[in-house]
Amino acid sequence: MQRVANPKTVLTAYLRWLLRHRAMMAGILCLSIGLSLASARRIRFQFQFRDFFDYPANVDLPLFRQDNEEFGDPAGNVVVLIEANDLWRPAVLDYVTDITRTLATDAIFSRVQSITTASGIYADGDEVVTGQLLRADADPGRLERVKAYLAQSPLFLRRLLSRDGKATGILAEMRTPATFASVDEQAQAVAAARRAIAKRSPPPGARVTITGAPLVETETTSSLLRDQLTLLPGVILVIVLALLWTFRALHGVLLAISAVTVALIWTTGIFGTFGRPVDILASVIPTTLLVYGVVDPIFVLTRFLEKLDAGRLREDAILESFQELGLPCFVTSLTTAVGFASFVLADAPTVRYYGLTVAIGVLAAWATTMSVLPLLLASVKLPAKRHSALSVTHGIMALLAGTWARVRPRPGLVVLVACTLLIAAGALASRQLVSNQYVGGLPRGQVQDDVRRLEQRLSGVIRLIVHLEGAPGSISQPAALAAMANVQRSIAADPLVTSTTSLADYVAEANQAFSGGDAAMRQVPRSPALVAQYLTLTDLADKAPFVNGDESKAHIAVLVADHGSAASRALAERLKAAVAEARFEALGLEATVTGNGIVAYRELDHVVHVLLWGFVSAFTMILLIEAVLFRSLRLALLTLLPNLLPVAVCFLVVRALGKPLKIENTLVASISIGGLFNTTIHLVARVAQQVQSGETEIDLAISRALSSVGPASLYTAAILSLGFAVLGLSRFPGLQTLGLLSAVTLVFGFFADVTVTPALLKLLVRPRLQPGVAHLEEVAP
Amino acid sequence: MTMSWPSQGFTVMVAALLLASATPAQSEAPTGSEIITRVLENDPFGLSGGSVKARFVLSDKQGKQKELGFEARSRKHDPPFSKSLVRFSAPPDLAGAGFLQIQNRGADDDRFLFLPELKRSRRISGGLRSTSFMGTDFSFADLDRRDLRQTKRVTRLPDVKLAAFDCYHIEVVPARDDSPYARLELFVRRDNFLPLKSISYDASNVALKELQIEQIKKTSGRWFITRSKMRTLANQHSTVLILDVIDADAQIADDEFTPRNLEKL
Repeated sequence: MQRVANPKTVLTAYLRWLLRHRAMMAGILCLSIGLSLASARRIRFQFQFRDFFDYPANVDLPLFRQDNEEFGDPAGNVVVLIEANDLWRPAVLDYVTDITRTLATDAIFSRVQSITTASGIYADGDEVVTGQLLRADADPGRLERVKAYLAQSPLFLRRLLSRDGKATGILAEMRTPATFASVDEQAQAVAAARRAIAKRSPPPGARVTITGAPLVETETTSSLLRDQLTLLPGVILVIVLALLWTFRALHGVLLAISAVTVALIWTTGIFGTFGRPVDILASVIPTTLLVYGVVDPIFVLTRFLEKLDAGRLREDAILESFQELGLPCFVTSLTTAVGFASFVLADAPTVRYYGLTVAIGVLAAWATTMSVLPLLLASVKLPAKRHSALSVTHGIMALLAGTWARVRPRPGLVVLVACTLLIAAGALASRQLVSNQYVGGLPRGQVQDDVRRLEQRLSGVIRLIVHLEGAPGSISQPAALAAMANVQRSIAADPLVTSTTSLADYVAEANQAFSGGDAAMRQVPRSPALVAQYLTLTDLADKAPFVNGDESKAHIAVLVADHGSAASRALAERLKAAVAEARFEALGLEATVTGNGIVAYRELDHVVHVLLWGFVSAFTMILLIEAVLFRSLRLALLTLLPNLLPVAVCFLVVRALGKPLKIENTLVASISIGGLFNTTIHLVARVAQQVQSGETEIDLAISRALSSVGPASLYTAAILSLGFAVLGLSRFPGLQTLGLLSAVTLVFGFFADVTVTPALLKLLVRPRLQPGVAHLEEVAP
Repeated sequence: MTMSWPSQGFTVMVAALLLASATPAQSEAPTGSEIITRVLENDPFGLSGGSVKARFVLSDKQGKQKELGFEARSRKHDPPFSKSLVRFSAPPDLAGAGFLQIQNRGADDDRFLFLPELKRSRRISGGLRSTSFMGTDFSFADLDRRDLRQTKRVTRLPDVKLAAFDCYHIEVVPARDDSPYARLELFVRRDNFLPLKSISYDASNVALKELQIEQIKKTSGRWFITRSKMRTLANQHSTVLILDVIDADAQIADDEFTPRNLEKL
């Protein structure tokens, strides 16, 4: 039978080979860095709502896309919001006309609507006024009648004119519907609007703002880039300070940073080959990798310096350090990578590639620890005078010993309290509301304020759509139009709804206009012939956003102020109930509720569930890996409670802060999982190793394990917590919360590891019951 | 005589040659404005005098069609202005609906609409020129031809050949504020001054619509465009206007063009 090679022997042989071929390896490393940097140049920053829902397997996508292609994107306009006490002054109207004309000359827009170009239909005495409402030669009387008409028409109220009549919007519709336009196209559209208003000063007393959905996405995209310019230096600063504190020497900082930097460059290069943009999820990858990646080099470097201090030659010190730490570092990196790799099963590409990239990055960080670091240790001149953090280490060891002294007499109670806390936190967390936000996810500031003002004055940037489909001509049946009007009436009073429009509005307005302006006649007439005649009169361009050519498809557009996905879900349910009540199926019409308020939000909320299930599956996989490595299911299961507890506490904190579950704060579970298991694995391994070596006194084994693993674990927890806390500097409220929660989780994880894990070890580990773990070594600085 | 391109191109070419030989001086170097004047004088849609029975065939991008049948009666009342009354016969829902337009030289046109369900006509006012005529791809501006009459600039560009015919290539910039177009491009046959094709552009120089002539017919010594297709380029919607019966000599009494007459079914 062939003998299985001992991992230590293989590792030693590899290290000797590596150190003999330094120059060649250095060349290969430089080449890999060059190739990675070249690949990284393709990376672009981009946040788009559609990144989360625009993927082939999304069953809701075809109808949503079809509706967009058919009828455009009613909430996707670039909006020039003009506020003035008197909008109807000639100077303001002239300004609106001028900006409308300027925007219309830009090919990026297909249609530009404003109060000065709007077409409508109303009665003026015995006359029916139709076509363009405001004309240059309009007399004051006509102007008053137009104002009165606009102020009560659902087609224009809160679309072009605010309820108080003091704000108006110029709606510039993009040639590519905004939902499916690229960020570049949206940026061009926003730039065109900025150019238009830069050309002419607004009239005195008027306030002009550019806003709308395209601005949300371009602003988020540029904030992602600006965020990296803050977060990366912030994380690096934290790491440098942590390294300086640990090693008290510049070389310690440079060696560890070099190793993790190479890993980051490799990962960036690999990410570049995916052709994916850096979105809100991917934007946390550099922070995650830098923080996780620097932990292993710290351990190795510390051990290497200890060996040197103990009088080993440089090469021997390298070999011994890696022999002792190579495998534990691999195991902790593997568990972290597995945690993230579980996301490759997610539907949304943005989640899939995020998980894959971090998993690759974590393994790359282990690879650079095993390649770049030994090369540097062998090549770089080390300072003659070295300081260690021994005094601090001794202090930590004393603290841990004191903690253990309190836990030791009552392990059952500690475990009971932990279990109770876990169950309570789990119960509360299970009732946690899932709610993502689009506008609310924007960095706080002018852009968010402007979008909120747009929602208050005119329309929201989120929309729900009732898509209707039937036989040709079925839409124009009076009963179908009346049913559409009924749905609109039911939903219009909802506080979230800013406006709702459909073909029924055009027919009702025509009916009122041809009935001498009688408000009671603002309804869909019962005569099919009359409806057909009104529809024939309606301009093609006005009908196009609501009905197709053969009148077999139509939609009701419901524009909504963004209060998050939970509110949108609730509204969608109310809308579905109104649609069910309207009984479109009895009229031969299939009615489906869609829109970005449903399709996009459903996917964002689904990502939250994917992240939670990813955490569960990663957790399970890590337990299985542990069971294999420890050769004990009991030891693997022992690690469950101390690692689940911090996550439960994290969700408890989310609840206490009054925040719903959303992508950013759910991400904390998967981000923390590697850091959480790190300490537990080292503690259990150290205890098991002692038991296997013949130690019969479990208390002593635990005490020794705590003093050898504890300080390193605290350094790790501190670096990870502080590193992730840097996310608190992000412009995005969600990432700020993520930073805070990660720090809380990892600190609590350390606390659980020095209290609950020893208690469980004392209760569950019996000497001489755990053979076969000799290859896992302690990890101590 | 009914002709359509390209199968009857030869007949058209012969006719064109005859026409060209009859008017050598005019065809030598007319200016852009002179060419446009000739186009307008031709009245190739028969909307400024006489009677036509016609159809609009509307098609969406999926090719689904809808047909509007109508009879248009018109007379010149202040040349080049006219009065016209359009009465719809199909589809059944629209049958009996009528539209009366009286063009005025110095003021807005008078327009009246009669919807049989309402049993009375209504005066229609407002800036209608950009609006589509009865849901077709033809706007009121396309039909009233004022953008060719009231121009800011008419430029004759180098002549081109279109469907084997030599054409004048003219660019027209309308003068009216209410014009839906910033610029029009016309390809006018040199031989008979029929506009074979016209393209209208918006202010950002994006082509909005294209009118393509598909068939012409000579009746009572005049050329009529009996089949033309207007395409809205953004949504690939199109409307074919087919003149089935033309009575160019019909003398319509002036008192036919009244709201009261419009209400008579």
